[in-house]
Formats: sequence, structure tokens, C-alpha cells
Amino acid sequence: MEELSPQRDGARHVSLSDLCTGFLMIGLLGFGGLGASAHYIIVERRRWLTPKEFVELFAICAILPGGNFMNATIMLGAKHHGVMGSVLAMSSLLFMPLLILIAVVVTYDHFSYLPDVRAAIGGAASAAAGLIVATATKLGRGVVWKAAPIFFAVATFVAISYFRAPLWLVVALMAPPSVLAALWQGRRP
Amino acid sequence: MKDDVIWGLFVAFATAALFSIGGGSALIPEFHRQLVEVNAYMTSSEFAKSVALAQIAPGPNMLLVSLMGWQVAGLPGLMVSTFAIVVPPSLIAYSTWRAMERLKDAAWLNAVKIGLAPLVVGLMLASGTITARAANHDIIGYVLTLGAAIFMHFSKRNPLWLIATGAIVGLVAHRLGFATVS
Repeated sequence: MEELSPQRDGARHVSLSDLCTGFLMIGLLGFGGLGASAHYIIVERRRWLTPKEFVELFAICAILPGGNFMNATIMLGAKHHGVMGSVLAMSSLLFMPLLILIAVVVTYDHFSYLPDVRAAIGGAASAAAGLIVATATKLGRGVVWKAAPIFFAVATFVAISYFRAPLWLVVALMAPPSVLAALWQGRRP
Repeated sequence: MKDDVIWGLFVAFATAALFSIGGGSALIPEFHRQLVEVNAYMTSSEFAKSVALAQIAPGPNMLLVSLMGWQVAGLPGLMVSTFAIVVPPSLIAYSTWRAMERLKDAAWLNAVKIGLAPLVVGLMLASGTITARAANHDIIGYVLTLGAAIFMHFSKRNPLWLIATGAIVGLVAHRLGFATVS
């Protein structure tokens, strides 16, 4: 969807209240992890980032400790409003999920034995898994698919999905050659 | 005693957070070791229930930690656990951002971002298939996953619609006797 988001880095002004409402929505919609709802709000709805900027932000956050999207929240907050932006973005992100979590814990024992409830939750979980797959394919739009990126994406997928390799090992093995390939690619005209 | 538990939760989650690369689900075995095996704050079945409950609520996978804090020590447990998992990595993320702003024209930083991007795509795809294998017990589950993935790839609709559709399909399939309820 390149034609919809032509803005360059930092070209779009994001106010503090935009930041808060955006992250409130991302938290509220974030079933099965935040990747899908973050992409929906940040790239498709609010257009704070292009698909390319989004996947690159995620890439940096994935190699830092902590939740990937929580790191991205801190960075997006800092980009637009410094420390205040980071604190407010993170608080907004966590606010609705924490309230819902408490509500679920307090009421779950009263309804969890109902097969209908379990069936509905199971169906929602299946759909949520599909959203994560779609987030991956959408993130793929931010990558220029030449031989090296295809190889490293497939190798990462296979190592984690089929061999259940720990993430630190995969990053340690794949990141250096992939970054070198990008450097080499960048040097060529 | 109570203070010991609160401090124990803080130490367990803050260290896990700082050594975690790749998000909440990758940490589940480490949480189990700390909470059930080392400190005996909860039983293994209470632990499994927390993991299942955390998946119902939206939000960061890391909030599993808040839920476990709640199970162990109520509201103070939830608050200290959330703080421990959120704040230390956030300080690192903020410093990294400041450093990146200074270096944003460096060719190597650009190459790092471009080189890591395909890994992130592969990682996200792997999360999707691992989650699908855990969530799906029958063909209806896989049809739902695949349908949601295809629909979401081509549309810009709110993902909540697909979650709601999934819940309704799960319920109807169960009522009609097609679905296996876990």
C-alpha cells in the first residue's frame, strides 16, 4: 500500500493525544499478541510509519530484551514526544489489557466450565493465529525480496517453527551474515 | 513474608525481562522454573491456568507476568510484576532510541535494520504457525486460521471482526457437534 503512505521519516506530526488513543486501541485490539493490531493502527489507520519503517523498527526491537512491541512503543513515544511520549504511550498500551485481564481473572471461574465458552475461546484463538500469519505476510511488504533476504527469512522460519531453536541462537547465527549481505547490497550501485 | 514474595516476584521477572530476547512466549519455560520449581509460589496446574487465561485477554504477551503476579500476591503482586517486566527493558529501549537518532545516517545502522528485517518476517511467521498448532485441535481450527490469514492479508478491516467471527464459528461448530473442545 505504498501509495497511501508516502510520508518520509518524521514528516507526520503526531500529537500526545493521538499517541495515547492510538496505543489504547492497539492494546484493546491486541488479541494473540500485538503484531496484528499494531500494524493495523500504526501503518494502515494512522499511517505513523510506512510498511518499511514498521518492519525495521520491529527488527531493532526484536534483538533488544523485553517484549518486542513494548520496545517499539517506547521508541515511537520517544520519537514524537521524548520521555513523556514514551511513558504515556506505554501507559496507554497497558491500560485496557490490564483492566480486561483483571476482569477475566475475577470472573473466569464462574464461566470457564461451560463448553460453549471454551468452544468460543478456541475459535477466537484459531482466528488470532491467522492474524499473526497475516502480520508476517504484511511485514514482508516492507522487505525488498532478493536472494539473501529470502534465504534468511526461510531459514529463520524453519529453525524456529520446526526445530524449535531458541531465538538468541537463531539471531546469533543469522543476523551477522544477513546484515553483511545488506551492507554488500548497499555498496553496489 | 509478604514483602519477601513481592521482592521475589520483582527479581524473578526483572531478570527474566533483561535476558529475554524474542518476547513473552519464549519466556514461559523460564517463568515455570522460577515460579513453580525454584520459589514454589504456585503449582504447575495454577501456572498452566495462568498461561491459558493470559491468552484470552488482549495486549502484550508479557502481561502473562502481571497475571502470575496477581495469582501469587493479588493486586500488589500484579503491580510489582508488571513494573518488573516493563520498566528495565523500557530503559534500554529508550537509550537505544537516543543512540539511533544520533547514528541515523550511519550506513552500518541502516544495514543492520535491513539485514534484520527478513529475520523478523520469518520469526513472525513462525509465531503464527506455532500459535496455530497450539490453538487448533481439528480441521475447523485450521480452516479458521487460514481464512483469517487470507482475509487479513488483503483487507484493512479491524482485526477484532475476525476474532469475533472465530468465536462465533467455534461456538456454532461446537453446538452442531463438529468441533473438539479442549
